[in-house]
Amino acid sequence: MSLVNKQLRYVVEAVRDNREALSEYIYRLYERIERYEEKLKGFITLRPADTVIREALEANRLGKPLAGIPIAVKDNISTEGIRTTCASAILENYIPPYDATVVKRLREAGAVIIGKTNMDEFAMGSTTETSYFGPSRNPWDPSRVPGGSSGGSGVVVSAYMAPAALGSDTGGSVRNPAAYTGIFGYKPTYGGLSRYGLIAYASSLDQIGLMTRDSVDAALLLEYIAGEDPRDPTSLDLRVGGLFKEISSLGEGRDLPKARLVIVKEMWSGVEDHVFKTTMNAVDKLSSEGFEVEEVSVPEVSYALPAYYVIAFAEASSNLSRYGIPLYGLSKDPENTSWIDYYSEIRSKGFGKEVKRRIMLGSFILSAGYYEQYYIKALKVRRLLRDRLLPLLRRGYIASPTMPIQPPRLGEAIEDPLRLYAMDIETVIPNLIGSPAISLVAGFANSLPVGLQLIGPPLGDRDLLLIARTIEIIIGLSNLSPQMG
Amino acid sequence: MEVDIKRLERLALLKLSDEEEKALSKDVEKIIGFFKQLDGIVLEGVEPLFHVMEKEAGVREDSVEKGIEKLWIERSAAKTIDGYVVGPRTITGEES
Repeated sequence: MSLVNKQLRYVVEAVRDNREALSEYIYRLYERIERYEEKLKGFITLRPADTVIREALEANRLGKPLAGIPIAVKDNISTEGIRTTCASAILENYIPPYDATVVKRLREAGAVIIGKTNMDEFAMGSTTETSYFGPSRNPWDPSRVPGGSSGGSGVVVSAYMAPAALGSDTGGSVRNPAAYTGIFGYKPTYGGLSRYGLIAYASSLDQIGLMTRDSVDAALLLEYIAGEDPRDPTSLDLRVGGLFKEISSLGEGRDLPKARLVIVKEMWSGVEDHVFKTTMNAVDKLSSEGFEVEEVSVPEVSYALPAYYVIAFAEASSNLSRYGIPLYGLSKDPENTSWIDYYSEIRSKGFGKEVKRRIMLGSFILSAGYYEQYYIKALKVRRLLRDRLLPLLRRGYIASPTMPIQPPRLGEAIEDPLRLYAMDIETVIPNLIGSPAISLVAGFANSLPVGLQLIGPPLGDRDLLLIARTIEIIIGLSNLSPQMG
Repeated sequence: MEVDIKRLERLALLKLSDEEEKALSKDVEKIIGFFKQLDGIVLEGVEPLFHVMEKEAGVREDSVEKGIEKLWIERSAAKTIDGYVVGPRTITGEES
């Protein structure tokens, strides 16, 4: 069997002392890309195969731990010398002068960037349809979206075009596409991975995350990229040293760790019927394998979605005010133009519809007279939610469907903003309270993968990943292969 | 409620076409209606949580580090004079 279908950790082992196997592996990835990329559009920028192979062989020769393995990176994470567009016309030709900390650490560990993946413009969307470069498609059914906003990262991992990818998650943007493309998605505790070099959307919610074929691969990469960063004062130490070894040994004769699953009733209402059944079947199976299951009601959860969107839009309108400056991105000769005209023209030309919608709403929320009514109120809901949920997370892991519906067909959800936002109803909760969360495959409905979301307590990443691995072993649905024509 | 779309354009530094204005006004009204759901929850005595990390941000060591190359700035800016980036005029006599 070709290495292409293997999880990243096995590829690293196989190519470590075998540079021929490494080149062969990368060629095979490019063969897949050549065959499927035109249809699926996972990448915005794909680096030439010979450059990637050259860098990979060099990393391998130097004996670096990741041995030259190629990794895909979402296009809002800065890569020195490689175009980083945020899927926006306003940054279409922007080439960052530095690497994001996570990218720098990956490179230092011997990984090579294969390309930059497609996404919703500035990570604003849940389907990858707001990309200036056109939508990505779901490898399981190309008439459907792969989710978003890290849709391209989901596509390339799911379709074996890269063994792993970085994504970013502000309100579900890693877990949503992981669920829809049938892979593993992990959003660390807020601050768990440095945000230095991540192009900001909503800074108090933004978090870089990992998209891999299973939880063990995520743990492997995490060990190399986690850790405090002096360039991001919100960065934290996740204390994940030795995790890869520990997680790899699960299921090898020892008893699997068990945990309590907390079912928050409000997170299961309004969920599409077959998504509900598939996810609940997984919970039942875990219960029969020794997991405890507790049902609770947290009415405040119903307010999470509007609170999230108020906060995200407010922060976005502030973060995106930097675009238009005559220093990078779309610009023009600033002479003989007034300040307002100059910025308004560039920004109107460079931003797409959803971005305009969000920054206008953010400006509204933060404007005099509405600040208290919307912004402050949303922040109070955030505290209330945290106060209600943290005690539950000390008892167990909150389990829910990752997505309330199955992946819409292209064009189906995008025209109605409220319908689009409602897709995030489950996934915004961990971002609001700073918790880590994962999505893994719970089962199938209508021949499409269905995701189970698990939320842990802040800084509980290590145990969350160990439990995720236990669940993967019990359910037995990881490293899946979509049937592609 | 009435949303003054022109005011929002000014605040967000955008200039929309008539068509865009019409479509976005409708969306904005609808979304603000959705935000009004927040009126349904009792929040007395609850303090706003601006950030989950309520710790003081530390200060980095004040030491010289490699920053962005001046050459990069000169290459990517729309216009430079003697190494300085040229920006639009901030004072034009227009009311803003």
